[in-house]
Amino acid sequence: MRRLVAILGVATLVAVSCSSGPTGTPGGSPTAAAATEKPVPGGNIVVGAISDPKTMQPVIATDTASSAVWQQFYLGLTRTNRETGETEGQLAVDAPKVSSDGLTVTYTLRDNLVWSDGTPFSADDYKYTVEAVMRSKKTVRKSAVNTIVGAKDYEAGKADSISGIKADGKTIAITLEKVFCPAIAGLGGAGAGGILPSAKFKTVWDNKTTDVTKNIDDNPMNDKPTVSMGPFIFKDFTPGVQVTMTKNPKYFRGEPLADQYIIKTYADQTAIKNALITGEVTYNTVNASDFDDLTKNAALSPYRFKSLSYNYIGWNAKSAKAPWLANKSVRQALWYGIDVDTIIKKIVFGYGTKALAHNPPVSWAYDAAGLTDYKLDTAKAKQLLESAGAKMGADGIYRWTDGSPMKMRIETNQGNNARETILQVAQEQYKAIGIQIDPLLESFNQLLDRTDPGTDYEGFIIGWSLGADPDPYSIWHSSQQGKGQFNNVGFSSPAADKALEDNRNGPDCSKAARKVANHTLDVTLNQEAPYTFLYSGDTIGFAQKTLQNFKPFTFSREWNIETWWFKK
Amino acid sequence: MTRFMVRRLLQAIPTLFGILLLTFLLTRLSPSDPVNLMVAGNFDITREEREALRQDLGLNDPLPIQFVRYVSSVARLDFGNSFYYHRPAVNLIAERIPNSLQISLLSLAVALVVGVPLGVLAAYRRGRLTDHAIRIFSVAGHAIPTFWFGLLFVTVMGLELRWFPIGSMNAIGKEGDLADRLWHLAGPVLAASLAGIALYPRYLRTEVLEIIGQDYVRTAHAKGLGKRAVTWVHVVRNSLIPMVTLFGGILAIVLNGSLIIEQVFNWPGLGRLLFEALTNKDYPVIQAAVLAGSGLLLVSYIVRDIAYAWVDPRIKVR
Repeated sequence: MRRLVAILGVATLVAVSCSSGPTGTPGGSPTAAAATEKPVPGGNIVVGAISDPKTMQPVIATDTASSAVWQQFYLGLTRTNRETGETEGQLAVDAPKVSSDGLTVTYTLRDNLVWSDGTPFSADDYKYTVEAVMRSKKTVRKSAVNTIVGAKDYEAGKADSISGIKADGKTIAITLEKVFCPAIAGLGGAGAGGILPSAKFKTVWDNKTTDVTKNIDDNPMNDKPTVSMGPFIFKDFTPGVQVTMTKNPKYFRGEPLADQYIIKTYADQTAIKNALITGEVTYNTVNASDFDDLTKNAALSPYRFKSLSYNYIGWNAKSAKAPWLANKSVRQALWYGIDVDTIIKKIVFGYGTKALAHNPPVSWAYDAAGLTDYKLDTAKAKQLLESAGAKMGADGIYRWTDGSPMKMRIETNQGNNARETILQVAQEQYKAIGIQIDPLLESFNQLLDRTDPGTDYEGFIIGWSLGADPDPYSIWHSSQQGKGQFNNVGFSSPAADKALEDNRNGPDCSKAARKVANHTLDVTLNQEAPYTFLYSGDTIGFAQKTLQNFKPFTFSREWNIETWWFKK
Repeated sequence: MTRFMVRRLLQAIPTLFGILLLTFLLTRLSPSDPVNLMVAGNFDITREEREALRQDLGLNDPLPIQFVRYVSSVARLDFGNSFYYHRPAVNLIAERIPNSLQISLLSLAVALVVGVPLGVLAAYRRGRLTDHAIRIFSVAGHAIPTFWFGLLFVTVMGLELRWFPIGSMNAIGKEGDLADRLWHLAGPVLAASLAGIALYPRYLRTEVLEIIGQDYVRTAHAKGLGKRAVTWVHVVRNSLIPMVTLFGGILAIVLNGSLIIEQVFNWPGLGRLLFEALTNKDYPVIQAAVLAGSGLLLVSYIVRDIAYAWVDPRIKVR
C-alpha cells in the first residue's frame, strides 16, 4: 500500500544506525540458524503496533494496522517478491499471464488449496470478493477492479454477477475494459488485497442480489474472521491490548512452527522499544533515537533493508507569495543550495540513499542513467538564480524580477526530528545562497491541510512511502492538481504526462516497457526539480536472537513466517 | 430528595444540549478533513472514492442538517458508528470504561487510605518531625509530574530491575489472571494515586487542626471518650466536608481515565481512545465521549450535594 509518510512513521522512514550498525546487505538475516540445527516447534511471535486494527476485513480496511492482521488469513492470488518487488504467484501458481493486447489476465490456481476449516478454495471466492468490493459503500478499493468488464453494471445493480470474470476449474480469466498496467498487480488481491471465504460471507450477503443497498460492510465476521487461507487463524481480539492468532495446520506452505502470532498494541514507539528490551516483542522496526541503546542489548540482533520511502522538499510552482518557484532554474538552485549528502550522514547516519527522482533506488523501475547528482554548490546556485533574473540586494537577499525579496516559508510537521533538522539546515544553507527562509512547524494534519492544492503555500518538507508497483500518476500527472489531489506542487510537463500514461495504459505492460516510461518520468523530474529530492532512509529494526529463520527484505518481512522458530 | 434529584436532572438537559452543540461545532469547524485523515494520503485512492466515502458518512450535508440528524439520533440513544472502527461509538467507550475504572478506583482508594491518615497524623504531630516529613513528602509529591513518575517507574522498576511490567494490562498468555492483573496495575495505580496522596494530607491537616480546637471535641474528651473514638468519629468525619468538594466531578475523572497514565503504562483506557479519536477526527466517538463525560460530571455534582448532607446533617438537600 502506498502511503504518505505520516508523522508517526519515523520508525519506517528515518532509520538510523551508527558505526556498530548492521551489515549493509538488504535482507541479511541476523538470526538465521545453522543448517544443521533442527527447528523446534512452539512459542509465540509477538510484534508491536501503535494502534488497534480498525477492522479485520480487507474490503473496508484503510489502515496499515488492519492490513497487518488480515494479511495473516486472507491472501491474494499473487504476492510481491521479497527481493525484487515483482509480482509472483501465491495462491496462483505463478504471476498472471497477460494477453498481448493487455486486456485479458489469466491466473492458474495451485492444487489442493483449502481454507482452515477444510472448505476448498475456489475461483468463486475470488469473484465473490471482487463483487463485494464493487457493492461496498465504505471501500476505497474500487479503482483496482472497476475496469473489469461488467464491474460497473454489477455495482449499479444491472447485473447479478461481473461478466468479465470467468472461472473454469483452476483457471480464472479476467477481461478488462481498458489496459491499466498497475491494476494487474492489484487484481491478484481481488481489489481488496485479500480474498474472502465466500461460503462464510454468503451467510451475511448474497452476491447474486441486485439490491445495491446490501453489502458486507457491517457484519460480525468483519471483526471475527472464522477461517483462514494464511499461516494463522484469528483467535481473539482485546481492544487496546492485542490480536491473537493461532497457527493454521492447513496452510498451503506448511503448518507454521510457532504456535501463535500476536500483534500487541502499544502506546508509542518507545513502548515498543521497551518491549523489545524485555523480550516481550519478538521483532520490530525502531526509532532513530533508540538505535544506540538497542545495539548494546546482547539479546537483540539488528536488521536493515532499503525502503521504498523518500523525504523531499516540495516547491509550489503556483505560489503567489513566491512566484520564483515557477522558474526551473530557481528550483535547480534550491537543490544545489542544500547539502543532501551531509543530511544523510547527520540525520540517518549514512543509512540511507540519496534520492534523485521519484522512483527510489530499490525499485525495479529505477535507473540512475541520465540523472544529475545535485551536490552542494553555492556558486552554481547563485549563478542559476541570477540567470533566472534575480538580483542580489544590499541585505544579502536576492530580489526577484518584480523587485520583491526572495523570502519564503518552508513548513513541516512538528515532532518529526528528521524533518525539523532538515528545516534548520535548509534555513541556514539557503541563507548562504541569498534566499531567506521562514520556518514553520505544525501538526501533521495541519501540514496536509495547508499543502492541499489551491492553498497558497511555498515550500514543505514531507515524504512518500511507495508501493512495489510503480504508479506515480496521481502525484505527477498535470490533471491531478484539484483539491484533495496529490500533485500539490503544480508540476506540469507534457513529457512526464505521456510517460505516466504509458506506464498506466501500455498497451505493453511488460516490466521493460514500464521501466522505460518510469525512467523518462524520473529524468524529467530530475531536471525540472519540482521537489528537492532528499533521501530514502533504510528501515532498521531488531529481532530477538532466539528467533531463527527470520530473513526480512524490503518487500516482505513475513514471507517465510511458517518456518520461523525459537532457539531455546 | 427525589424531587431534588429530578429537578437537578431536568436542569441538566439544557446544559447537555449546549455541550452537544458546542462539541458538534468545534469538531466540524476545526481544521482537517476526517476522510483525508482516514485514508492518510493513500495516493492510489482516487478523489471519487474519497468523495463516495464522505457521502456515505454524511459529511457532505450542510452542517444544520448534520446537526439535526445527530440530535435526533442521540434522542433515540443512537450515538453513531465510529468512522474508523465501523462499530457503535458507545460500544467502543463501554469496553474501555472498565479498564479506566480499574486504575481510577484503585488509585482513589490508595490515595484515601494513605492520604487521610497522613493528614490526621500531621495535624496531631503538629510542628514535630513527623509533621515536617509529611509536609516535605506532600510538597514533593505534588511537584512531581505524573508522567515523570510514571516514566521513572517504567525505567527503574520495569526495564532495569524487572520487578514490575513495563506496561499493558496483562502478560501474554495470562489474560484473566487476577494476580497478574494486580501486578500490572501496581505502576499505574501508584502513579495515579501520587497526586492524591500528596494533596489530601495538606487539606486534612488544616481541617483537623481547626476541628481539634472546637468545643465539641473538648466536650467529647471531657465526657471520657477514648482518643481514637474522638479522632475518627468527631474529628475526621467533620474534616471530610472540604474533601467532598474535592470529590465533586471525581466520577467523571474516574471514568474518563487519565491519558497520561494510560499512555505511559500502555493501558487501553478511555483516555487513550478519546485521544485517538481526537487525532483522527472520529466525530461519533468524540461526541459520545464528551457527552458521556459531561453527563457524568453533572451526575457527580448531584452526588456531591447528596454526600454533603450525609457527611454534615446540618446541610439539607431540597
